[in-house]
Amino acid sequence: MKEAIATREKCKGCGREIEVCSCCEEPGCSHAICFGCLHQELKQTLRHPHAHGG
Amino acid sequence: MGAGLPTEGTNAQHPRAGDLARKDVPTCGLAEKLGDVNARVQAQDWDAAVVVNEERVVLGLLRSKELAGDPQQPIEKAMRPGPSTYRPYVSLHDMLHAMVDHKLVNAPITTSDGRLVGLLLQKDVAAHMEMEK
Repeated sequence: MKEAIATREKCKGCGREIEVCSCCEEPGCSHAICFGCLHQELKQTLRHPHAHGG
Repeated sequence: MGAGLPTEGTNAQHPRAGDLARKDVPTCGLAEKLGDVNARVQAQDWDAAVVVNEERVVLGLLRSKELAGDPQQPIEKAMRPGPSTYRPYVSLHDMLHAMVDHKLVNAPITTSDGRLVGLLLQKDVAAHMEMEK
């Protein structure tokens, strides 16, 4: 029996593997981006400060 | 800003995603039939509709691809569930970049608690940016 192989994309921001692009949700997106990086790119959220307070 | 309320200050004169989003976008509920919604959307000269609940919280999106589906289908089955939404304060420049890169013809703009502000059309943003040049 064949198992379905889920295609994985790489986030253009952090390089993390993601199931689908958070922006367009289309498989094979050439600008695939994760939820966190998308929201940082659009300035909808701020990057967390350094763990030691910077 | 996240609630889509007016802003003040020197930067307030620059329109943002929420200012350009079309507030008259057709909306529908989960229980409706796709054929009925499609007829309404076409009558209003639109090619997209936003699926919302009673509190106008966005549940899904119907772009032309979804609207062209089986007219007997309930919206719940036909819609693109949980679409990515954007806040009203996002700059038009950033929105246009994202929309062009990801080939989005439109994007739903919502408040931070998920209520629909409007549908931002790529052509509107591009026209505005061109006008500002």
